[in-house]
Amino acid sequence: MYQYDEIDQRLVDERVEQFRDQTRRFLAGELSDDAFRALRLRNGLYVQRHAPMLRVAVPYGLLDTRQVRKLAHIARTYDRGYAHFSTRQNVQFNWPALERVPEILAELATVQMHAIQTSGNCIRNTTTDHFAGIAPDEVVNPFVWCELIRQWSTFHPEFNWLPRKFKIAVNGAANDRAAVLVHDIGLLAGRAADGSVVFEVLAGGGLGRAPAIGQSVRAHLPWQHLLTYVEAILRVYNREGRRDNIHKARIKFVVKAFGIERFRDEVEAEWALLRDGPGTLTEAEVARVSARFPSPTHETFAPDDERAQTPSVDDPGFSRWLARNVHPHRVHGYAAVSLSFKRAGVPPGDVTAEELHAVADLADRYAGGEVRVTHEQNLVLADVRRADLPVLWQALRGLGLATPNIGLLGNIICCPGGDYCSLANAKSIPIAQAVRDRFDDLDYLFDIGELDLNISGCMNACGHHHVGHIGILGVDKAGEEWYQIEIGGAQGLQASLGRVIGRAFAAEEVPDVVERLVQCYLARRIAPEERFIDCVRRIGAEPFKQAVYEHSDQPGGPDTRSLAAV
Amino acid sequence: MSTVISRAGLIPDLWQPSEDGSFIDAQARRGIAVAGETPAAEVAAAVQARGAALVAIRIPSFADGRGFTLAHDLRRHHGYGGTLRATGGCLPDQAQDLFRCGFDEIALPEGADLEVWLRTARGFSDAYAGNLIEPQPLFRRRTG
Repeated sequence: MYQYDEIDQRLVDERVEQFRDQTRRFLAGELSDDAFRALRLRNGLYVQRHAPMLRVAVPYGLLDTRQVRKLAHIARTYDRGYAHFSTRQNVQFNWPALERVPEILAELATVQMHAIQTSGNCIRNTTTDHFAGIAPDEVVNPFVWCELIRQWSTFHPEFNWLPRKFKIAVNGAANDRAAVLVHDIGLLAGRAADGSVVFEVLAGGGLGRAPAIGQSVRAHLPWQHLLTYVEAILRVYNREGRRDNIHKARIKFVVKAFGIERFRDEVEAEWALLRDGPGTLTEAEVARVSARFPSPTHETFAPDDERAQTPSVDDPGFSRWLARNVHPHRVHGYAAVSLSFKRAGVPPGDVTAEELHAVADLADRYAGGEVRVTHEQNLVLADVRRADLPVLWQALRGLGLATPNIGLLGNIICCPGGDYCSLANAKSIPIAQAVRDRFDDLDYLFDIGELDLNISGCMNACGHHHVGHIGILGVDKAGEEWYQIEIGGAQGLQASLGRVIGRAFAAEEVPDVVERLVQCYLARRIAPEERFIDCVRRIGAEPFKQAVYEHSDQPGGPDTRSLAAV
Repeated sequence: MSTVISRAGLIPDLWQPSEDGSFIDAQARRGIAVAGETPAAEVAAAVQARGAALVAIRIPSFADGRGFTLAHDLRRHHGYGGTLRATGGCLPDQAQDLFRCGFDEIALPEGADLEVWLRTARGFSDAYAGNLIEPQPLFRRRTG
């Protein structure tokens, strides 16, 4: 991660003091509920169903082990001994006491962490590829650009009171692992003919209500103009975004109302006034920021050096783990390893203080002291020598973090839902657990192959259900919790949005519905290489609808529970 | 008369409101009041037409950030060099950002705690992005 200098540190420290003062004024009755709400949200503090929830920023998902241990300390000291990874690569604590949040923020500041702009109608954490810097298909390392955006957007005086939240993602590889097409601004970094960095700038993507795929505003933006161009988009949005209807306030509604041509014209007209001005990035600044990221040291192995190979282990469990949880690395002899936090009996993305310590120890020993949070709510150790894979696998297995389910149906993305979140219409964690339990057989999971199943407890879509191959959305009907099923969504450069297949289901029906979708796919796929999503795209949703609803002999509606009886 | 602060602290209110909602000062200069959601070009035209030396931008609610962009646009894109005043429902915690977006002064809401306003207006020692007070972004001013 980027190492703060004195100025970065001072600004974060000043933020802690500002929030300490705001909390004091609120508790003394000097700040209204409304005002304090807006201010605390900009420090990641929600008031939830049971207690406040504090969302801590993990810029672009990158942590060092000192920070991981600090998160463990906070979980133990101020919470109930655990934390939760969110789909925005952040970390959440579910039980802090409001009065102690300034103390927590002060502790975080000692390890260059904060909760700035992790909520509220402002520019949120910039996210990226969890294999940034190590992926063989990478063209541009996105970390430097993410950090430049982070600094520009932090405390931006003009854009702290936007119509709605604003999310930016950057990807710099041939494959998109940052979901850039479903962000308010998506940046695809590539290289011009002369090797210099250029960005394709997309705008107007987003999940939540009325999900939309981002549209291209500018195909080739030279890197020097990154911040002025983003500023131009934000200014157009701050002027034109709707403030009369919270459900139509995201930038995607401006893009839609204007049409991409007029939107582009407005942005370009604004940018013409900023272009080549003081906000234009310099080589010196890019070099300065790059130098403040520690560069991992790699051993150089000859192509035939056996220390660069993965040692063979006579255990099918190891082979499965290699197949699913170990990922290629651009440096010969190295690999990236996913730690699966999708486990029986534990909500997706939850981690205990003990596990955080254990992961930090392993990261120090085998992965250069770095840990990454993925938007799929897992962790990644990105710099592991292949020679160390067997011993790391043993250690992770001992911790229960070696379930070989990355990319498979077991790797469910799931928001905290109605168990914790006051926005939720329905619970999501018990659904994830029920589906996970139904597909507990690893042979079966491997046979099904790659399948993203995402669950959100409300339209805000924190569980990214629109881009799950199977998406599940909790809805409230007359005070009861029901679940809509979508199929056909996908993340990546071929991103698509799922479509609802029909009437909603009761919680206990959901595992059966998923089972029927899977059975339909297995019966109709051309070959095991044809993934669920490929099959849906080839044959359409109709066969899947039939498979799900054919035994349904009553008309749809909340009172219909026919599937549960099957 | 309102309680008015600038970056320097408490300042005298030089502007008398008139019945039509505009302002006038001791030198008989005019001031106009506009809503935060008014397009900048419209405000600039009104300034021109009335020779206004004060624009008082009414912020309807602290959550509505259009006034920040309006101030920026008047200063940067329309070259407005007169006094810019924020009125209405802003929070003390927004004072520093209002100044950074080009406001010279803030007319405090009724019952405002002056001490809190003056303190919070100096909350941060610097800003990353370039702004109306410091046009050079921090990255152009760093030495390390």
